[in-house]
Amino acid sequence: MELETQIQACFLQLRAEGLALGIDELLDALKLAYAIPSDQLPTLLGMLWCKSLDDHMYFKSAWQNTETSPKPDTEPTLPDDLINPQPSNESSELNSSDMLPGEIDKTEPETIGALPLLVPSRAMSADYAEFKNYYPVSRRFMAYTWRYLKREMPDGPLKQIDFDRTVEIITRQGFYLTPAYRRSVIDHAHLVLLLDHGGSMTPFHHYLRDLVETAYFESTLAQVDIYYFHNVPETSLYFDLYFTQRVALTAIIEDLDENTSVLLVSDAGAARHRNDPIRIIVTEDFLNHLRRNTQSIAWLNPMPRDRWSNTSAQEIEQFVAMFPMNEDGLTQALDVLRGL
Amino acid sequence: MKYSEQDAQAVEQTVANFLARFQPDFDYEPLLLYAALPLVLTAELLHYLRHRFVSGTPWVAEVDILLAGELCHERGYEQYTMHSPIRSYLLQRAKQHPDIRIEDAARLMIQYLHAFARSQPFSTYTDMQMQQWSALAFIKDMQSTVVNEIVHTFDANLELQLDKGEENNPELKRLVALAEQLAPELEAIRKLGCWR
Repeated sequence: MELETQIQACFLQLRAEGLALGIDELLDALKLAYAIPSDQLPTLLGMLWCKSLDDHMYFKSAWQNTETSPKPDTEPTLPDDLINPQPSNESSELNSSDMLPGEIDKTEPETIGALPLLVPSRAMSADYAEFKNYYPVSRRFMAYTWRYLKREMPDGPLKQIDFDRTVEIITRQGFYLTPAYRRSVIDHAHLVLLLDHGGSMTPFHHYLRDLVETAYFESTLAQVDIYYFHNVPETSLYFDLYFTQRVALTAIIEDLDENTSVLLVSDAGAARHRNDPIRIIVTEDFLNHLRRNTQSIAWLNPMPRDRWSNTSAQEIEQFVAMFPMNEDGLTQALDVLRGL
Repeated sequence: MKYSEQDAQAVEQTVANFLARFQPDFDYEPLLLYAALPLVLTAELLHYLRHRFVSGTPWVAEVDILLAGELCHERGYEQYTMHSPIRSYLLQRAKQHPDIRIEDAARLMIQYLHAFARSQPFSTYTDMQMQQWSALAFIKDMQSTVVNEIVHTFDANLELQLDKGEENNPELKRLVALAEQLAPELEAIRKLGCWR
């Protein structure tokens, strides 16, 4: 096989495996093929195209497959119908609706001409659209709901033209001198997310990620601060979910004001059906600290309400507005944060 | 791995007690039987299995199964492993249960793992390989392939150990533990004396 053809075949195989390769990578590889000795090409192509050990594994296998005399493949190989089952495959009892969304359309082999110019995204959501509705509240609903937390005030710089007033002035004076300006609207919303992470919250990490990502990247809120804790928020919390960057509770509280909304997310012992008096006392103390600076505090509990009874959650619910993790619960929590 | 009759009774009782906590409102048994299939459980994988096979079971069952200390333990970040005797017992029950499509679940898991490997390039190859073997062990046509791959990997690691003069190769230990887990499904593995 000609070197150029081999590179193209290998490139297409890697793309079929899902590697994020675009036309740029192919052109770079072809340039490389003319510039260096052919025995060094596989190593350099590996460096050019692969970003992980798995990528290297796929590359090694694809390069061997495209060689004229392939070497024995020692990597585990699977029949294609197991990885990408076709709807007409009668040997499998699975119907077409059981297949992964990203794999249904791969009925025709990919050709170079069909390749996009940009490197495709490797986001998991492309293959797993159903995970967007992971729990009773969807990511889309979260992104939509954050909008209600806006606190817009016309106290920005005096730079927006007020057309109505300008026309009124012209009418009154009989001539145009200068436009009238009004202050631009500024959003003062400040959301603080305090997230219980690890332990009994581990099965809910997906939900926490959705909350963080929608609040931080998909909302128009002026300021979003995210802190993590484990089980009980005590004297210090953490900036990161691996609990390596500590931040003192006093520093967080100092940053709160009347425009700040605090949303806590924790199962409060409900997931493991625990009732811990110390946890209840510490949490009450923590909430009292928060209330010195803001009254907009709500709690989302990922466990359904009927699972709170006889756990710490039932007690903590007496001190704070606690809602279950569903669309109604999130809406009600945000109503509390808005002071409704 | 052999368990005494007393152990087997204890395992059966543990599972029965867990299921009884949620009955008669909910029957978690079908989801629990599917959850026994993967060697490493994640919240996403369990959600995937529930969504595809037992969508009538409430989503909170996923949380209850993962957090039940008597059934599973946390193996790593966002990863759980079912206790080995519990898993063996549940897999035996799954084979007897007329409504549990364990081979279909294994096929689906292969697709899931393949897509997962593409989207999560930082997951380790050995973990993916282990999960893949455990799923393939339940697909009749693929059992001989799994045995060959395990034996091949074992041989390669044994050779490596002899070359380096190492005494305890962790990879070999991992493979032996895996073979023990898969032995009930793979007759050829059972016949190989080296796994005992």
